[in-house]
Amino acid sequence: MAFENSAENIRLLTFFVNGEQYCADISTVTDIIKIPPITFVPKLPDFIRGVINLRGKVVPVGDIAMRFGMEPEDYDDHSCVIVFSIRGTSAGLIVKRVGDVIDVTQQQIAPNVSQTSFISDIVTTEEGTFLKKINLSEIAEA
Amino acid sequence: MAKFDEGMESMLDTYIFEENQLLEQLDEILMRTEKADSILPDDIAEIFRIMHTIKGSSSMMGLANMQKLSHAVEDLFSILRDKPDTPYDKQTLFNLVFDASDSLKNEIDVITDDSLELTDFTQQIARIRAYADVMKNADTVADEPLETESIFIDGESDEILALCVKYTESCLMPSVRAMILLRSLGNVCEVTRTIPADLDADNANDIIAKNGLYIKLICDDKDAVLNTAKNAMNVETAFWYENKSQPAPVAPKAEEKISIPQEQPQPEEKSQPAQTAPKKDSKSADKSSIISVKLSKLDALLDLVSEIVITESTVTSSPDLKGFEGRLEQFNTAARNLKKLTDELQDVVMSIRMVPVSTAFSKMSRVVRDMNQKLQKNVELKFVGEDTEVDKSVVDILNDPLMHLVRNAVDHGIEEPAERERKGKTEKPTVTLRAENVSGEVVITVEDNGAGMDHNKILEKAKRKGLLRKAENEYTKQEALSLIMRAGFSTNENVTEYSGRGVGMDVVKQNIEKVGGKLVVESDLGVGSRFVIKIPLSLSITDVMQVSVGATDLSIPIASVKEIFKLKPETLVRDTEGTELVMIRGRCYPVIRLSEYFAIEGETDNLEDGIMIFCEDDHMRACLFADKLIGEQQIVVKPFSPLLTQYNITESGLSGCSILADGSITLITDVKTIISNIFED
Repeated sequence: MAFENSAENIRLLTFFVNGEQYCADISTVTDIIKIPPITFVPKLPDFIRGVINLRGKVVPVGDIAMRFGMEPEDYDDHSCVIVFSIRGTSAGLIVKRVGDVIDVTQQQIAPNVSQTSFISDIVTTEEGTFLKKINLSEIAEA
Repeated sequence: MAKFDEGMESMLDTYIFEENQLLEQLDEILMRTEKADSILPDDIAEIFRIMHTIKGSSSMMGLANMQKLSHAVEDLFSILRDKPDTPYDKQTLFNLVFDASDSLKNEIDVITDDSLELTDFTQQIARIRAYADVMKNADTVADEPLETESIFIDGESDEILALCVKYTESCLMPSVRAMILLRSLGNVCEVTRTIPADLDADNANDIIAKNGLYIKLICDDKDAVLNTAKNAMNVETAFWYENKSQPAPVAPKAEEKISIPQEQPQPEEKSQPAQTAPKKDSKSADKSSIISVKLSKLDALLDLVSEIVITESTVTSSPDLKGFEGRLEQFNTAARNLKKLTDELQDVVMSIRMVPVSTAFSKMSRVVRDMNQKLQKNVELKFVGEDTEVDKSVVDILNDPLMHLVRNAVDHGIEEPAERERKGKTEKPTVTLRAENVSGEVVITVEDNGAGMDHNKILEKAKRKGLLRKAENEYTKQEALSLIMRAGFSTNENVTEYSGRGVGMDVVKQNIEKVGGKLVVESDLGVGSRFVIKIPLSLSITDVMQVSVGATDLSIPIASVKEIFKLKPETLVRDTEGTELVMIRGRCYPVIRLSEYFAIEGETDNLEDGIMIFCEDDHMRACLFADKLIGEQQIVVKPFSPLLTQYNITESGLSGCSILADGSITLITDVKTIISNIFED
């Protein structure tokens, strides 16, 4: 269910990490699922929580808060795993809450020049609030 | 720079596949005919056809060097085909063709390897051409007069137009481009004939290059035809050729008449098509019942089927059914049928991937043939059970080890002819390749009737090289022979062309063990040696022992489990550094606590409460300590996602994972890596 982005319009999935709203390009997102049982895999960085069985595929899942260097959140029944494809395989990110899907234009996106964090751009919404945009594939790469 | 023409990438896979098949076919014919006294006309025609096809497809890909080389060989055989009584030196001819076949094979690897440049075959081509000249001169016959054909025939309808197409000079084989063009023209017009008429003929290229290609056609939309022609690959110009009483300047009178390819009615030749015709028919009938499928598609299918099998058992053993009070008769019948069908489906899919080992074996004929030429040992290669079917991936893995073992057998195993005579060995020097299915394993044996190995000498040498791990007199014969598979052991001091090039038996062994196989050496001094390779039928399915450590489920491949036991306190020893050792039959082995190694919280720290798994992998032994034994299971191994392997997870002792029937995931441990990690620390 990948959405096509035109050159002008970009569809973003928003989600919350530690109360703050982030967003990411939805085009690589394949699933948003409730947190399934996670099998712990030893000898990996802490933020990788383990692997899940997604329709017969073994998909690694990471904790986005821990990836950002924050404390893991208390996840509940409404928390989700955002599954996206990268380099031909899948990966999942655990988030506390998934928000709306929004459409923005290229003009609303301002790149983050500092490049010291995972935040690639800052998106100004129609309401005038700022959203931190992340690049999902960057999160998954070591 | 791209090695082949742009726009041909999509054809590359097919090209390589076909080329490999053709070259294998060629080798087969060559091997067969080399033993015979003379090459039969059928075989000459077949070799010619193979070279012709390779030439054609190579030029389509824009691979000039391969095209020219195959062209040279093709010419060589066209001489023989046209005049079967041409005298020739068979050995020279065969060596030339074998060399060319090897060069082409190498080149196919070069194409796909970006780090390598295309090879220049100029010298090799010159050698072949030179010999072709020798053959020609031996039987010089005047060129036969060529029949001619004009572009406009009297009485031909005016509706039939003539399209003239000229190809650029750089175009390697205009006739191939012409065929492609004709195919695309088929969409917009009806082609009645072409000049030259036979685009497949030997001289078609020259004619087209010189005069251009004339296509006689009927069409409604002249512009569409012209555009199609102009946009075709390598086309310089294309225009309508008008029927004028005077020849147009583009086609001067002399060239208006175009030579037609030789279909010279030679009596000997006429009988030939009659002979080959039925054979070809049966071949094409064979071919139509076989299709080639990309391995990746089969892999995807196999994956899918494995998932269906798992899903089927999750459905039929769903926990929701347990609390259900009503009658389930219908459901149970349907579930049983479903299970039967899915099992069958799995069997069929597995069988699709099965190929006879003969594909790996037949390559060895070539190896032995080449070595016989060089070493003059006259070794015979025998096949037993080459019809045995194994998974395609197994065959691919077998290629290298087999090559190595066969080379070793011929080079070191079989004695020099004089030596054999001195020993009174009258039987022919033989290397036997044997394949058989033994309880879920494929057993491949490479056996020679050569000198055999002296285990005492091996022990001596291993001692010199410091490879012994226990007292010399404690080694059994079998253990001594196994020493040759240790890294750093090479029995032959002299490096020859065929062995001792740095890739030793240890690498062969490693490669086989990597896929869950085993290599065993047996040898009788003076009688011969036997190398036995045992490989599981299918690589994706493994037997494992499942254990639990805390909440984590770990699987240990059964192949490396020697025994499982509960620790008796009196067998536990601690050395000065506090390392725990277990005494098993008079020997001490280190204990590796899996909970500690993987930094998982285990249920118990007390060695007596948990379970000990005594493992051996590649001569490294240790006792792994886990909480509980869950059981034995067959699993489908899935490699870790590249997103996890980037964190060196395989180097830390986990080789992959697998989804169990209940949908949970188990991690597969790599005992060898775990033990060596501990020892190195």
